[in-house]
Amino acid sequence: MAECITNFIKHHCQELASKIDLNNNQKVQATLPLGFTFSFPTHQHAINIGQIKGWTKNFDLPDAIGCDATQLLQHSLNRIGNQYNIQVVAILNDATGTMVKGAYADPTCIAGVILGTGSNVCYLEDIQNVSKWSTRDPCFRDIHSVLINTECGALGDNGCLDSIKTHFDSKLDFQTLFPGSFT
Amino acid sequence: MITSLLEKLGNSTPNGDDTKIVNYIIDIITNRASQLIACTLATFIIHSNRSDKSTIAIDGSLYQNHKHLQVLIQYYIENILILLDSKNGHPNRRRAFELVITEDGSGKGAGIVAALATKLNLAKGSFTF
Repeated sequence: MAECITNFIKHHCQELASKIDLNNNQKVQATLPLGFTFSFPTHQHAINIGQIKGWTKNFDLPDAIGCDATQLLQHSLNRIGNQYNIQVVAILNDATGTMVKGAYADPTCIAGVILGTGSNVCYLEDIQNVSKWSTRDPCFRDIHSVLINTECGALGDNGCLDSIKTHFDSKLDFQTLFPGSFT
Repeated sequence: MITSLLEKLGNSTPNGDDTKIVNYIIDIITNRASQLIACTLATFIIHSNRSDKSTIAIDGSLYQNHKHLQVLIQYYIENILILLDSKNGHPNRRRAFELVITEDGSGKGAGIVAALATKLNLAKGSFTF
């Protein structure tokens, strides 16, 4: 699978590079910044550090748990030569990405939602309600809100939704790669 | 479509009753999924408590391709909001909300964030959390 992804990236890098060369005769910028959407739970320590927390949706690569997904992608890019000097500068969740694009198009956007293979919601929270941020140093003083990725696909993993689950749910859940999670 | 689906599942001669049953099951599942999603989204609309409009950006193959699901989610959110508001003593309150399909939101959002990160030079680790 890794090889398949690598080839895909390689192919698209070449396509992109040819587009840049066509549209723009100037020299290509020294580095090409890349934003990486990663649709799995991560511990995000910085804008470009996303430590993989676990897998969902019938993907399972146990060796990668605890690794930084940004670094993994950067290493893979470097391994295939990274001819165009691509730098992975940001990692974000797909719901977060949707919210960012939604807010870019319409400032009244309050939430980003994914309804595809899995489901997830991210929303805009008042920073006053986030103790981890509001009590920190003065550089956060001018920031009023923060995006919270709820990973709400996992709602009910602790049993709080058991009352509405049917035996069809349990049967289906049992056949997934991770029974009991993200049902 | 349902006939071909049943044939794929091994029922070589599906009759009218079979397709009706499958149709019914699909209806129930869609309805239940819409209610679950509407509950979640209504909670966020109430939590954000905007006096103007609340826009929700949605991406994902299921929502984009399932027109009936879109209508149902909209319908259930409206009803849940009215129900919760009247429970809290505001029976006439009508919150304005809009569900917007954000095509390739996750990819383009990542592009916007990458552009911002480069511009603000965030990637140097000066802004860790």
